[in-house]
Amino acid sequence: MKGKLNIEGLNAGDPIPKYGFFIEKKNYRKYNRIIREINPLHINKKFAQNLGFRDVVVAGNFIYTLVPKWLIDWINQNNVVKKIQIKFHEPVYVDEKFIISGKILEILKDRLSYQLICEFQIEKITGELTANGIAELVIPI
Amino acid sequence: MVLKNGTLRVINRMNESESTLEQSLHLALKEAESEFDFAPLDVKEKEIETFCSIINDFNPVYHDSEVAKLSGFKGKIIPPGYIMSLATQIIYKIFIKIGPLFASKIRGVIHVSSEVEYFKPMPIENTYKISIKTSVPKKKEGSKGSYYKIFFKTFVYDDIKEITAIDNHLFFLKI
Repeated sequence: MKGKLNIEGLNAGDPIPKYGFFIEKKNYRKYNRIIREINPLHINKKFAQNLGFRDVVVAGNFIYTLVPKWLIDWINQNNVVKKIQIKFHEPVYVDEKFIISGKILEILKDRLSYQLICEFQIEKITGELTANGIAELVIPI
Repeated sequence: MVLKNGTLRVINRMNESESTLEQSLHLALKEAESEFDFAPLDVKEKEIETFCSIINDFNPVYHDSEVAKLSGFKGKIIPPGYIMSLATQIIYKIFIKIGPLFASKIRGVIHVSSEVEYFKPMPIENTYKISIKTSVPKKKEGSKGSYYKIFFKTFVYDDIKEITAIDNHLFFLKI
């Protein structure tokens, strides 16, 4: 298992390693079952098409789940994610792959911790932007 | 559906005027929000296991009590990414509650953006409650038609009534 990320060695502008995810239909159905999804936009193809979408739209809260995971895996420490703002753009459909990428915008340091402000984008492999946002991490020294 | 008489009167009187629809939507949301105030969050260990397997999250603090304790937690913790999924379950209960009243007016619900703040790790074994505050609906026009813009501010409390997370969501109700 890799060790904790060396925060001292990070700089503003540094990229965060990319993370790709493929949303399999069967897994998305499982997710919908455990969270008791009721929004027909996320479960009913005809309903989604009536609203102008190509297919069932993957819920924003599912896309979101991958952002803290990606950040925690990168830093390799728990309890460091303090705030995430996310804005959803192009819809993601099941059986699509997307990639999360980002970079460090700012690093602040005080006596007890480092504060990392990072930006991120979630894009389909076609390059369409599906979500973006800002994350704030606080890492104890 | 049980709503107070005042809300029903407004809805019954509801004509096509936008201000009345906005007002009745706001009243219905406020009533539903008070009904679900401090609703318990349904956190099941097995569902967290399934969730982690879906997103390929093998972080041991979500799966192994001993590792979680060695990492300074009370026990296995809820993955931070899952908290929004828990909060939206209660938001959707509000939509179910008001849905039949506005079924002929609202065509769909779209989650547009969120902001999540984490204050404390959330051990799975604890119990949690949620409080939701909704904003006044604002009518907007977009490239795909008209919609109402509504903010849901959700506060997650643990069993000692401390806030563990605040989860703000913006939804568009397509009309």
